[in-house]
Amino acid sequence: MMREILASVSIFDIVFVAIAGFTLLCALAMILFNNIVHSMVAMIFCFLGIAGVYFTMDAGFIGMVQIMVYAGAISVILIFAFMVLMSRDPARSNRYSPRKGSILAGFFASGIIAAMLGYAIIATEFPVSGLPDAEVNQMEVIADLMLGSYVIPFEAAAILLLVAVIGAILLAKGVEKDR
Amino acid sequence: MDLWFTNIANYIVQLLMSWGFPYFWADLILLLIQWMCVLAIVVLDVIILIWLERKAAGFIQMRLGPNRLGPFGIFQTIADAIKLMTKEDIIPNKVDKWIFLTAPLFMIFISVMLYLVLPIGEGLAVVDLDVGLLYFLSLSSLTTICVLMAGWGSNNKWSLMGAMRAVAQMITYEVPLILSLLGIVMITGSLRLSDIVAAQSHVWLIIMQPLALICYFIAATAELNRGPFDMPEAEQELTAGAYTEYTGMRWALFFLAEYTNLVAVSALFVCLFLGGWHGPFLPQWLWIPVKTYVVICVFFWIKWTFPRIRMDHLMSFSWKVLIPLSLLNIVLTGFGIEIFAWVRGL
Amino acid sequence: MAYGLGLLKGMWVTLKHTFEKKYLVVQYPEQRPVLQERFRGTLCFRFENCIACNLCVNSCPNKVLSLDVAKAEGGNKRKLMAYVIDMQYCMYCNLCVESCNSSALYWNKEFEKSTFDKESIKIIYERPRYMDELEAQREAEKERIRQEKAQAVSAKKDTVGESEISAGPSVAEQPKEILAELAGSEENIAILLQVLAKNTVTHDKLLQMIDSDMEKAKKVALALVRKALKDRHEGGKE
Repeated sequence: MMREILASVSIFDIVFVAIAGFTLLCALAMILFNNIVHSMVAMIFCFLGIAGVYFTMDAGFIGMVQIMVYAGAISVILIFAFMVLMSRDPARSNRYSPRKGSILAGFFASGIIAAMLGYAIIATEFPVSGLPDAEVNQMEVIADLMLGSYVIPFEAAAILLLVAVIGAILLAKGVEKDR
Repeated sequence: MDLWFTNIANYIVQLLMSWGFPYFWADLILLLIQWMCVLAIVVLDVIILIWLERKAAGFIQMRLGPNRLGPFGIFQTIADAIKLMTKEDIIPNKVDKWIFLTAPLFMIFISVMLYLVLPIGEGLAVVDLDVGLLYFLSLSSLTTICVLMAGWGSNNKWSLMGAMRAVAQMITYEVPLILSLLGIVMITGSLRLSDIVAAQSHVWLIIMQPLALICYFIAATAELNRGPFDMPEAEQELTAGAYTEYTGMRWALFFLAEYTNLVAVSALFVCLFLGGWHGPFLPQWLWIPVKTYVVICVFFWIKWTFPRIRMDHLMSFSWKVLIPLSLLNIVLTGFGIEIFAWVRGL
Repeated sequence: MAYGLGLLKGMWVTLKHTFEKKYLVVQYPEQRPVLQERFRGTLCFRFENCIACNLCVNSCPNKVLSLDVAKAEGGNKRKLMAYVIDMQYCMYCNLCVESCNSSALYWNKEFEKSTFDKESIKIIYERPRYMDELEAQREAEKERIRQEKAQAVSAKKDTVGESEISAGPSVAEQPKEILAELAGSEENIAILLQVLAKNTVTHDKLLQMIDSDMEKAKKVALALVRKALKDRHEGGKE
C-alpha cells in the first residue's frame, strides 16, 4: 500500500506539499508569535503561500491578484495601523490568553469547525470535468464572466469600495460642527 | 545572430538529455542556468550604474564626476564596493533582530525577481508568463513592505517616520502606475510581455499612448523613490529615512535593490512603449540594453535637474492630477479603439 | 500647458551643460586653484615691525594671538620675546591685521595647513638673533637724527637775533606790501616778527604759507598777533 502511494508521488505532489506546508507553518507562526509585527510578517508569507497554491493549480491571474491585493496592499494597511496605534511593548502585543479555560475552549471550537469542514469536503462528490483546454486565456474567461453574467455583483462591489473610500476621506477630514 | 542565445539554450538541453537526464530535469537545470545569468546581468548592471550615475550627475552639474581611479574613473565602483564591505556592521542594541536583518534580503530578492519576465529578445524571457505585466506590478507593490520592515526594525522614530512616508508615497503612486498601463493592455489585448513587444513591430506604442507614457514615467519615478520624489530617503531629510540605521553591506543591499529596480523598470518601459527589441541593424538582444540605458539616462537627467517635491505636494499631485489623467487616457483609448475599428470596417 | 514648459526648459538647460566644457573644475593636487588678491591663507608676522603694543591681542575675538614680552635691561623698554598664533581658533575676521599700526601682521596665500598633531597648529615666532642688534641700530639711528635736529635748531637760534638775512629766507625780508597785508599796522608787524623770532617752526611754516596760500597765512598771522596781545595783557594784569 505504502509502496504504491510512494511510487505514484509526482513532482506536482512534492511541490504542493511543500507550498501548503509552508503556508500552514506561517499561519501557525502568525497565531503563536507574541510580537504583533512578527505576526504580520508571517501573515504576509501566508498570503504568498496561498498565491503559490493558486499557481500550482494554473490559476495565474488569481495568484497575481492575491499577491498584489493581499500581500501588497491589505497587509501594508494593517501594518500601518498597528505601527501607529501600538501603545504597549511590541514584544508582548500579541500574546494569547494564559487562562487554561480559554485555551481549552479554543481547541474545542476549532476542533468542531475542522471536523465539520473535513466531513463536508470528504463527503462531497467533486465531479472531474475533462482536462481544461490549455489554449484558453484565463483572463478572457474571467473578463467575460465578470462583465457579462456577473456584472451586477461586480458593480455593487465597486460601489461598496467607492462608499468605503468616501467614508475614509470624510473620517480623515473630520466632521465640521455647526456653530 | 538573433538566435544565438536560443541556440545555446537548445544545445545545453540536448547536452543534458544526452547525458541521461529526462527532459523535465534538463529543463529545470536550464532554468537554473538562466537564473544565474539573470543574477550576472543584475550585478553587471549595478556595477555600471553606480559609476554612470555619478558621472552623469557630475556632467549635468557642470563638473566632472569621479575621474581619479582609472581612466574616466571606471574603477570607482570597485573602491565603493570595497569600502562598503569593510565597513563595520553596526546593529543597534534594541532593534527587532529578525525584521531588521531580513528587510534588505527581501528587498533585493524581490527586485531580482522582477527580471524573470522581461523579454530580452524574441522568446528570450526567462519565464514567459501569461500574466507577465501583472507579475511585474504585483512585485513592485511588495517592495513597500520591505521598506516598512526596515523602518520599523530600526527602533528609531525617525526611521519609522521615513518608512511611513515612503510607503505612503509608494502606495499612492501604484494607482496611476497601474491605471496608465491599462491603455496598453486595451490596445494589445494581452498581458504577456512578449505579445506586447511583438505588437509593436510596425509602430511603437509611444506614438499611440503619449499620455500613458508621461503618467507611467512620473509614477515609476515615484515608485522607485528617486528623482524629484525622493523625499523619504534624501540625505537632507531625516538622514536617509528608513535606511538610517543600516551600515556597510546591509545599506549596500538596499542601494543595490534600488538600482536593480531602476533597471527593471526601465527595461519594462522599453518593452511597453519603446518597441522592445525591434530595431534596424543590431541583433535583438543588443537593442534592449541600448534602449534601457537611454531610458536610465533620462531618469538620471530628471533626477539631477529638478528640486525635490514636498511630501504633501507629492501626494496631492498623484491623487488630483495623475489619477484623473490616467483615467482620461483609458477613456480616450477606448474611444480610439472603437473609432479605429469602425473606420476599418468602412 | 505652461506648467510643463518650464520643466522642459530646465531639462534643456541641463542637457546643454552636460555637453559643455567643464572649465570650473580644478584638478586639485596637480593644478592649483586661482586665488584672489585679498585671499586670507595663513596669518604671518614680521618680527622687525612689531612694537609689542598688544592691540592685535586685544582685538582678536577668539584669543588666537598672544605675545611674550620681557623688560629690557635698564629702563622701561619692552622687548618682544615670542609671538604665538593659534590657527585652530582663527576665524579670519581680519581685525588683528587692521588694528596693527606697524604692519606687522599680514595674510599669505597658504591654505594647506593640516598637521599631524595638535601642537603643530600653533605658529610660534621666536625672537630672531639679529633683533637685538637691529634694535640697537634703530636706537642709534634715532639718536643721530635727534642730535642733528637739535644742532640745527640751536644753530638757527644763535643766528636769528643778529641778522635774519643771513639765516636764509625769512618773513622779515618780505616786501613791505605783503607784510602789511599779513598783519595790518606797523605795530602788528613788529609783534608778528617778535613771535616768529621765538619759534622757528612757526616761522618756517608761515613762510611756506605765504608762498602757497595767502589767505591762510593772513589768518594765521592775525591769530598769532592776537594771542601775543592777549598774553601781554594778561601778563600785565598779573
